[in-house]
Amino acid sequence: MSTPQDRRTFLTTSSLALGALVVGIPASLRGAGRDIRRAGATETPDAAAGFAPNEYVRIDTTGAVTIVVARSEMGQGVRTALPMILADELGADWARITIEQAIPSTVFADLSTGGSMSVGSQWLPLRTAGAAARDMLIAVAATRLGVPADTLHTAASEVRHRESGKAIAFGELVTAAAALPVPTNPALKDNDAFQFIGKPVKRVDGNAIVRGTATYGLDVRVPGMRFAVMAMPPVPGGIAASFNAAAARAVSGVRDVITLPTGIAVVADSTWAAIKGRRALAVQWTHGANVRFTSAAHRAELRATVRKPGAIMARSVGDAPAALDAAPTAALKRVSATYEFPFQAHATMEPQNCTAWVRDGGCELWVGTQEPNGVQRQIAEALALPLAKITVHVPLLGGGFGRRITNEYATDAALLSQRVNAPVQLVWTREDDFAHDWYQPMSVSRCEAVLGANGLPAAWRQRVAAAAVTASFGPQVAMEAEMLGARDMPYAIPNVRAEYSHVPVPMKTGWWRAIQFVPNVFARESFVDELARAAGVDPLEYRLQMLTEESLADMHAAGATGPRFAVDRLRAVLQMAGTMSGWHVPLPKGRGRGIACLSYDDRSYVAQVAEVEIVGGALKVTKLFTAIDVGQMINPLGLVGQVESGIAWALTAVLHGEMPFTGGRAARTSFGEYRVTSLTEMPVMETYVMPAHFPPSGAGEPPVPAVAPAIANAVFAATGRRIRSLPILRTALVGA
Amino acid sequence: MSEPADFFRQSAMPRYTLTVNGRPHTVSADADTPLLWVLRDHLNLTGTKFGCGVGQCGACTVHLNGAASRSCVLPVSAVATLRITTLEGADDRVAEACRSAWLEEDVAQCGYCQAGMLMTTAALLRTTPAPTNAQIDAALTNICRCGTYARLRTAVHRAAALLAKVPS
Repeated sequence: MSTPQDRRTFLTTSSLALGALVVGIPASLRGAGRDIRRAGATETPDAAAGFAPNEYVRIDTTGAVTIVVARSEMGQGVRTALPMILADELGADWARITIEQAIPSTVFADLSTGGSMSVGSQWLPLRTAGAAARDMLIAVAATRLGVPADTLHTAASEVRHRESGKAIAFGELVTAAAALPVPTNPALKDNDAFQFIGKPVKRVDGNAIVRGTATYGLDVRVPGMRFAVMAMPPVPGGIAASFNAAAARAVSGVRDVITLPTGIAVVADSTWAAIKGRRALAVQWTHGANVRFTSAAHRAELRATVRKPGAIMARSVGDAPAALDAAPTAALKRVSATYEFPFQAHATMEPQNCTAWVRDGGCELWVGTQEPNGVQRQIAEALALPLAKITVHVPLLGGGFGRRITNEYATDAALLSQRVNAPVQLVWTREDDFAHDWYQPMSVSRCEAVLGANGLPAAWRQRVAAAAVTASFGPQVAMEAEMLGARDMPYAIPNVRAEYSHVPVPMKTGWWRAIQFVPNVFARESFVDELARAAGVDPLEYRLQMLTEESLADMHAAGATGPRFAVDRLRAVLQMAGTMSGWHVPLPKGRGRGIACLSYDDRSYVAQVAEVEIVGGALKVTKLFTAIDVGQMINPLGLVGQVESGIAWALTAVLHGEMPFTGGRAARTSFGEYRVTSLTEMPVMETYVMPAHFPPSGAGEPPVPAVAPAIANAVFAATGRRIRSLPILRTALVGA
Repeated sequence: MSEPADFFRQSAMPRYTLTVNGRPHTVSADADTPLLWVLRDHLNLTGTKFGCGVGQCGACTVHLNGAASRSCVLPVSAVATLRITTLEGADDRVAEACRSAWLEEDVAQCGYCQAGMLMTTAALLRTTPAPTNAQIDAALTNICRCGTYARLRTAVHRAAALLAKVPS
């Protein structure tokens, strides 16, 4: 897992050169994490003191270790898990570590956070960075103690000589270490020597959170700042026909009414004054053609679309149409079903916001973003300034879930700051947040299969129709992304087709936690359950029968890069979930179990069993068993937390989540209308983390997609009613 | 920064003296200004969070004379005579027990809703020292999008146990 050719080459730079870089671009290494409330205050260039062998770690002469986190913290635990990786290799004293948030720079050119990739992508760079620093400190200590370097090790921020019991603190070694060349290929620890990796470590921001001192984007305070809200067209493409700027300006505390390309901004001395000012604008909108859009009509179009061959062939094995479209015969059983998944909102607890300060030919921003470099580029373009003049601080994100991959409001904040010549905090109210989301698109899947005499599918086809998320980001539809979970259908079937059709919608569509795996796996895993029932085979056994060495063989043959699907790992989580749940133990009437599984991008493997109870037509998800294989586990506390979080996220889609559109606009703009999972709805959850010796993968998204089909399959087991559309409405269970 | 620079603007607004976290604060704000925004924008007490603005999510929960209240729907004019406590100022034994239980259970994920969760729990435990799950369900109607609910419930019980162990 740690072959030299896998590693990044950044360590070829000498520590002195990087030390100079620290001084040259102070903000790059000493950014938002330090003290965001003192934003704008002069930052003293003290970071060059001590030892900075690479961009991820600094140690000063007191022995204080600072670890730089190059991913955004949105609850998934990167500010704990990533430093654990480096600290382990370094042998640092965890209790005395300072965490610093990276900001975009030439050094940190990709801070992108998403796709459950943070741990996997940072694993080797952070281990290598920690190991290089450790080896340099050990080299100095070896000289001082007059012992061979290989008799020394590090722990608790000391270099220790086991034989003599002697130890030298890091702080005493850093000045000499800084003069050494940085090793390009340091040896990494054996897994059994890990001190932190794999052991429970509490969230580093926990104390600040429970004391109310953790800083989210909306908590940023800059001297002289103004507060702004925007009136934006409720229907995409709408324009303001009229508005009453004078009335808004008459509201006490309102300073400016400014028209931007995206809407009309009210800038005030407080958020409340801005909100009142916006109300006073009484904007009359001309909605344009999109006012005719309704999600009901879109659903009908998607249903019609999946009745026809897909526009894009995502996968083809054998000749599925020949089998599926042939005249029925007695020997072959034909099964088909259509599954529907509605539009969804992200509804992060912290509404979207950005604080921007344009001054001195540059712009400083504080924004809870999953794409700090993207914000930097976007603002540089909007203000026609060089990239280096844009500083993007990344405070904590009050939820991300993919919503904060796009931060269009950052541009508005910067433009407003420029216009009013003061720092501006632009906030979207909850209603704005619901009404202007980048929605998870509605998706309809038609699944068809022909079962052979042995009950197993001889042919399989899944046709997906949806508005492509990737179409919101560029002219090309990226089929691979839209068909996640459908194209990589893992069951070994001789004739397979996966087809995709993009049906455009006027509103923005975006990445939602677990992205297109969610609708596609809901359809796929529900349909497998239907096939198992049609074949009269236990759904767990049926899956295991179809997970063979032939699984996804065509994809492998096509030379796909990246991780390869490991059928053993998927089989293992299925078997474990079965064991955990007592799969074969009968349940009383009115209760049922369902199972579903997925390979998440061939990096993480998940199987889940749901247990449900239906009482008087009301669905209660009582238990949720998860077996998950993410390769090397970093922090069990964080990992299990992510599984439980993923279950809660999926439950919203199962029980409530649906964003209808009528008259071209989002029909639900409050938590009263757009309900999300509550405390009372949570099942008892049991999670088993598979012991695995593969490189680590992510856990933020993989626990989401199998939850809905596991529940829908459990409802069938309990009631004989097949759920093919989410959310599961009470009407679907009346009389059950 | 908390007060408008312009005297005439300021003079247009009524003044209120609020008791927040045991200290008096005088603010100029329109009578209908929700307490949430007075805390956040006038007093820079940003520990109290904005989530929905209509009292549905609970992120803005503070204590008014010790009772949990959603500050986004409370006009400043209605609370001027009350004892207001925010998470930053909640330092009694109940609040501290909640904090240690929260940390012990590693409850928070993104953490944005947790101020409201903690303040709601602290108020609950003052009146109901050993809450049942049903009582917790009834009190903690706050929303958490990270889904920290399971650990949250365990932490409430743990805080109650901590308080039972150490007499006041």
